Amino acid sequence: MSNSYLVLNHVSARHGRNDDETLHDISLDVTAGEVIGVLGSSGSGKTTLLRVIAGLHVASEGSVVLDGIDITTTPTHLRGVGLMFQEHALFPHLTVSDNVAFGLRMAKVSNPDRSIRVAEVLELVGLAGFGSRDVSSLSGGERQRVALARTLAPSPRLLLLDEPMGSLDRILRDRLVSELRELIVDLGLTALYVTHDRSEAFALADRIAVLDEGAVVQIDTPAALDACPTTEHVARLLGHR
Amino acid sequence: MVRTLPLADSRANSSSRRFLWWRILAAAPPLLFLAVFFAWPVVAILLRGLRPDGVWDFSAFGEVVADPTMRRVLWFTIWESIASTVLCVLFALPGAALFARYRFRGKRLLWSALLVPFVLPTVVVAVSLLGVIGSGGLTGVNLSGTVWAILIAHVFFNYAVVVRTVGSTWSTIDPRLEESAQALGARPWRVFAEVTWPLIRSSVAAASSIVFLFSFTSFGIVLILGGSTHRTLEVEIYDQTAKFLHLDIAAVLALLQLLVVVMILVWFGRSQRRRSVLFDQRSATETEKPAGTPRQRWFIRSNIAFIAVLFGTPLAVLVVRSFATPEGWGFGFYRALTNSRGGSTSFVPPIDAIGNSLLFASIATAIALVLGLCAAWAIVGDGSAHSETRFSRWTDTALMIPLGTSAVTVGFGFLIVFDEPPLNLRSSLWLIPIAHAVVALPFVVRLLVPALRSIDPRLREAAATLGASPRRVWLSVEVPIVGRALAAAAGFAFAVSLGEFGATAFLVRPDRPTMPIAIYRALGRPGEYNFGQAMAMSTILMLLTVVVMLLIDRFRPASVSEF
Repeated sequence: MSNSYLVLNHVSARHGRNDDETLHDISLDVTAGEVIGVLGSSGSGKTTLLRVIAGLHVASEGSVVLDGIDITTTPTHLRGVGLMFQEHALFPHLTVSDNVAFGLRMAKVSNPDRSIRVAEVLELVGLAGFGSRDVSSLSGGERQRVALARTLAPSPRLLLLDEPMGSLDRILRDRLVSELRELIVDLGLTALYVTHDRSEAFALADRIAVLDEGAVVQIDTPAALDACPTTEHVARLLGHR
Repeated sequence: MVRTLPLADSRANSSSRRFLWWRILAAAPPLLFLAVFFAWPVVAILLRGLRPDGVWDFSAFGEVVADPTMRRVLWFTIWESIASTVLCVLFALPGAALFARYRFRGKRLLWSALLVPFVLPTVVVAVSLLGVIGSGGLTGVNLSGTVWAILIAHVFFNYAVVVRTVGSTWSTIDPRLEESAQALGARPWRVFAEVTWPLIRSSVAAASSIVFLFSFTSFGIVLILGGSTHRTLEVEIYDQTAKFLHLDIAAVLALLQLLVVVMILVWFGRSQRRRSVLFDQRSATETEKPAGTPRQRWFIRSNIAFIAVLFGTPLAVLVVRSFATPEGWGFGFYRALTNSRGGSTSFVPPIDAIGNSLLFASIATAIALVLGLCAAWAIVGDGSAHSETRFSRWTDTALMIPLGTSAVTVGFGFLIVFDEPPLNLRSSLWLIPIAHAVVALPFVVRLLVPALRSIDPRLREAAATLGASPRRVWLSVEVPIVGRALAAAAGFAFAVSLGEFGATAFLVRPDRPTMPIAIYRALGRPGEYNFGQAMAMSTILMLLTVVVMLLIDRFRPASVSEF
């Protein structure tokens, strides 16, 4: 466990209207540079898991350790984690570049450095020259890229992705997934990728954690998972009959 | 085949033209009503002030503007309204956040209860605040006659406007926008400043402009709480007319007031167009959550406590004190309402005012409903996209203007216009309900238009393809759906009429007082029994209003409410 980067120790949390999206005693150990796919059906608690790591939701028990520091009670804005939502949550009152620059402004990056970084990140996601566009004028795929650029701009210590492809069509999704994988690996980022889609998880993740009713039922590499699912539920999620 | 196309086309054209005629016909009664009972009186005031002897003469204007007393009144009116608006927004924003973001027990009830102070007659608001911060009041601090009393009353009265307007917008903002900002390193106040504020700003501006207009044209509250030193334009217009008979000065003041009101409305219209940001709206149930942390629980509790203290205390004190006679607890003040004391010939038992108010309110409601329905139908048309024309926008705007005009101006205008032929209604009992209908009409239209718009045009089309004539469509589709909104509008109009004070003060006949007038008269007479009677009458008026509002809330369509 020498190179543990993100560690969850026996985390429990209550969430949802009837406490249906609850987490029970979740433990997870992520190495630096690893991409973890979190696979589960809706209501399995996978979003809650991300929210607890991001600090948007308070764990009722257990602790979260990032890079050797216990961040269980650290407020979200001091955690330095990048979070990307399914519907992208772009700020509708800001332009593309102002959206991307948001995190840099919060980090008090000086104006010239900010512009350079914004241009750099927009180029990285393939949207060079889109800076002055209004976010409402973007297509679904473009919105997704802007959201990614916004998340990457302040160089987060950890990338949390909550079904980022959820609102896109199949063809676009397949292309973006492989692009995203490349990007994450190139930048050496540690990431948690939440999805209910097995093919996305398989295309992206180094290891996959399967969540059911708020608990991790199995965690392994895609190949190992595919070869021997431990429960019937896991098998069903993987598309086995 | 090809030849039939132009034929079908021309038929479609003629039917849409006929449709426009229907709409103009529907718009005619309300527009005519406003022309006679609103525009004409206002123009008469204008002419009285600027053209006293048939020649344009701006000297009265100059005199008023040069008079230091009048300048003081104008200045006070402006800064008092700005202060009221700022205070109201500051106090109400946490309340808006409470309703927008959290789920808690009693939320729906509290949301409805918030409307009570807003629909309470201003006279009742003033009297109930006197019970708390007046001489011998609950707090032991006498603020009566100070500007603080006025400001507190305006916050009390307008709090719901801001909370409900801003709260509904806020509740449609996706919380994930705020959470994204947090994850990007924004601390809580920056999340508000950088993300929430830009998105709620235009609705804050909308609410502010309403609060400003209400404070700017505030009459009953300032008359009762302001004492002799703090006077708004509205009070000054009333005094110049009713006490000093300086009609020309009053006319100039009314004109000045109208000018500011129009300026505010124009500025507001412009700023709305420039500023509003379109965003994907979420449903409110999707964005609310229960308190998760102790801090959030504290936020919810302290907010509810603030609302309870701000509204609960004055209203509770009002009721309690109406039973606290010098002889002990009892109905003494209420019994006194039936006495015809005082020896004055024109004095009638105050209890009569209840009957008068109910009668006037019924007539006013009937007028406002019939006209409002015509207007709303003319504005909405058949609800399809191309029915939103310049005609409908123009009608809509024209019908909103009375909302921004002071009731005193309406009353004063009536006094000038309708005491001579062709329409000599001076001693007619009709003047009061007509004036009330003018004040209530914009509210009725605002409630009905969204309801009519909410009818899916496909419903109409479906009915039409099933062979229903336009009249049958109207009867079978629109009337049932609009029925609920109509009931809500009726309740609102009734409440507006019950509480109307400014215009009534001009038009009332000594022997036919309304309830607010009876309260004001009782306040004007010295002695504990008279103050007690004011308390008792205010309590009755409050109960009547609350009952009407409760009825409204039963009928209120879920998706249709602006405030």
